[in-house]
Amino acid sequence: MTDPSPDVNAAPAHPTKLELDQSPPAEVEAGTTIALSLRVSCDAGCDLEGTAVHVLDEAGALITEAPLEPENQLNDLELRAPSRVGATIWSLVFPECLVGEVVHERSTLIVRSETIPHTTSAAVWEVPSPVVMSSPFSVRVGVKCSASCDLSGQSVRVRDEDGVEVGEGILEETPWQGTEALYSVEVPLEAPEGQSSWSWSVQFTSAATGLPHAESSANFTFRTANPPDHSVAVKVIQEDTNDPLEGAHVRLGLYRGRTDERGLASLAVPKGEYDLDAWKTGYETVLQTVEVTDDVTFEIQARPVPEIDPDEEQTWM
Amino acid sequence: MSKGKGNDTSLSRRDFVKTGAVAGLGATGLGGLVSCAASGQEGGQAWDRTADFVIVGAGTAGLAGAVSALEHGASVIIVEANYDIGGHGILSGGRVNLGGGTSLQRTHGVEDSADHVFEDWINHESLQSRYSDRAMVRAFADENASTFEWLVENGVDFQDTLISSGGMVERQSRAFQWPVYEELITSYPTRHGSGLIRALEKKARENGAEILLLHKMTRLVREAPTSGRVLGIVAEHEGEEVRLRGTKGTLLATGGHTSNVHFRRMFDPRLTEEYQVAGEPYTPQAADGELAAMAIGASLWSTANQTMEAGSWISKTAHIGTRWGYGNLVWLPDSPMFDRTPGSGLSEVDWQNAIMVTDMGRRFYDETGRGHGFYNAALAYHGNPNKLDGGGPIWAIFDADAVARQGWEIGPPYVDPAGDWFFMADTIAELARSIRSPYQTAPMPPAALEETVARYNSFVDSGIDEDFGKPTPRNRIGRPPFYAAWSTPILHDSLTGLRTNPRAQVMDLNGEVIPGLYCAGETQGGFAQHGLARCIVFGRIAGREAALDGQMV
Repeated sequence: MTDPSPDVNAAPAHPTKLELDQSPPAEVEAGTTIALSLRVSCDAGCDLEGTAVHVLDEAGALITEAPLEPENQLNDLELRAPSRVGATIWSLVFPECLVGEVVHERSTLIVRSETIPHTTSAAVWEVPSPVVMSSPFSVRVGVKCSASCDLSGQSVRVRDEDGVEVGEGILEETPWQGTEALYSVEVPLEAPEGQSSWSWSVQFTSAATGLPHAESSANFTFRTANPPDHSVAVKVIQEDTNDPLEGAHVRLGLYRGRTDERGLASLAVPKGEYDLDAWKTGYETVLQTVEVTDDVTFEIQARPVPEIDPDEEQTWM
Repeated sequence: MSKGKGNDTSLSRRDFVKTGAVAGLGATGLGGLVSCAASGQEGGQAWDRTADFVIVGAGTAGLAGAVSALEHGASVIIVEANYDIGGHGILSGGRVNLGGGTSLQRTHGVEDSADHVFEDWINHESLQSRYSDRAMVRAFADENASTFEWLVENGVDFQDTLISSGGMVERQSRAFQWPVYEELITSYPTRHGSGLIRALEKKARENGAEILLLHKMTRLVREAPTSGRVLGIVAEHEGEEVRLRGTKGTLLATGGHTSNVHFRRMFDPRLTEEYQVAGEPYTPQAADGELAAMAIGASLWSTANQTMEAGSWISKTAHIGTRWGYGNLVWLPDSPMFDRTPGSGLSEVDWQNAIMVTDMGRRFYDETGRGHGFYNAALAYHGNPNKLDGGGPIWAIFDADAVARQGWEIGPPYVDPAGDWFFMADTIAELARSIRSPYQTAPMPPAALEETVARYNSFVDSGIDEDFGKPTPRNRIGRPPFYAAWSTPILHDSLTGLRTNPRAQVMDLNGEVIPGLYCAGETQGGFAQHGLARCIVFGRIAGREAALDGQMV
């Protein structure tokens, strides 16, 4: 068994060697752990159970002592990366010790990895399109940290196509419903002038406190249009029964809506000529061109199309 | 939930018993395993068992061959690699494309003839009939009507409806699903093939066929390596070799080659390992029969049938986020196969609710598209230097709004977010990073997927898909969380296989019959017909021919 003060007059010392089962990852995110598996070998094949591997930090301070498992193996040794970014070194040391009657020599293995900031990524949703030009609108912006850090209270910025900041928000306290750790905020914005399509971006830059986080950004697009002049109701009915069709997607030019249980979708649009159609799985409609000059209701007939039986499709000839 | 990996879908009886699955039929079948008494020397070989006709594969063609051989007085042993019988047939829709003037056609006032059947299946204007061997089609056509009546006589219960078969008249009939729940492999209500298969099995057993389950043929035994008569087979059962002598013949009815990646890539190198196969994990099409026969000199035939760009040897997944999402073949939780699947998948996909991307995170086609334009794009090179052949995995990408619109439930028994076939994440970039699949040979670049989704969303704003012409893109992909579901096209038919003459006798590379060896079903080449009909017709011919030992003309 281990003896902390080896007897120098005993039999010749056995050299030892530390070997990793696999190379350590080149990069590790700040404050997170990597797991290593390693083995200590003795040239003479001694069983070293009962000894321990010492883990030292860069300054040479002992972090932990990990006892060897059977077959001189050490599985899932966890090393925690520091909270700062940069090259990181751990020293794994098998200290000189007596096993039975035999001195086993000290051996050392240096583990290097690069500590990197946490990756972040962004999502943008609830993006209306088209937006009335020169009028307020909003989008929801969310940011997720790869290690699921709490990002509440941090800020996100929205920039226009020229990189000019046009909006800002502070991430709310609780993650977005259904997500693991997506912190989000509704960001108020103002639409640019003119009828066009736009591609703006959101940007997340972490505050200097806490664990380091990389920047992230995401693009979102929207279109701008003239202010609406008229209310348009689109009613979708089933051709065979005249029953209202709920859940149909209605498209009037750039304007989109979905029918309610009355088969109605309501849109506010500028006067003009539009293509109009509706769409729902299992139905087909005919594209029509309509003129909007007043508040108006359009009706779309949806014809049921028989469901294709996958077996039917397999009939050849 | 089980987490399927790789291509290992093999079953053993032990596995089967462990899953506590269907007991009744399986137990009956396993009774046949106990007696393997040696039956002496013959042809200079030692045999464990002897019958007039040894059939390899208890699927559609094998069972038809058994019933046919038995009625012509031959004794029959069937060896089946699986724990239960049925092959692809028991999982099928049970449509039987037999016409030519059947009683069912007459009942419905449909006039048909063998000539009409022949003309339909050699129509040169259709890719699906252009490359078939017309002598094979002629034999098929001539035995169409009689084979249908033979099925009825042998206990197959057909529905009183005729279904269009795309030819000049309505021909297809459809069996009733087998009424014994415990003897179904999938209870999905369209799987009428169970009615055909269990009826044939019942008849074969009644008439004395012995079915050896969990017996996998390893090779054929021929008098000399590439000459002389085929004497029988060697099979492997629980690690032991079993040698079976077929005095009048041996029938290869092993179900085709589609699951054998090396074999299928002989015809189309794009069909790499990521393409899963309909019918798995119950029944792999492993090319056992083709390989065994080729090893003794047999020829393949009509290989153009395997590469024609028509038909549905490949199809879009009807159920996404699971490994096997083929058409109407759904693995429900009550199936003995269910715990080998990653779930039954998310069904009734509306492709306006999702985009499809390659392993590199790029769209490649109009998601609502169908047919071989779609498949060719899916199988194309997508810029992954680790993946030169094959198109790599195809993933459906969608958001929380899509899930709500579809009414999908995320999680078991539909999908397994902890598995290899379905992923979810809070952002698009994290979704790309989360995809870990045995067939994803390089990480999906997060920036590529972000760009793809942002660009698609701009097409939704404008209503115009500038890249692939999807008709009026309807829905943004925006609301977290986000999902990636396996949507890689799935393979089905083996449309080429061993060369036979119209009497189902296997032929060699010199065009000579290999005496004593027969082939039917998807292992047989020459006739590119989807489904059960050709398997039944040539199985029946093979059984009769072998029983009569070539005496019948």
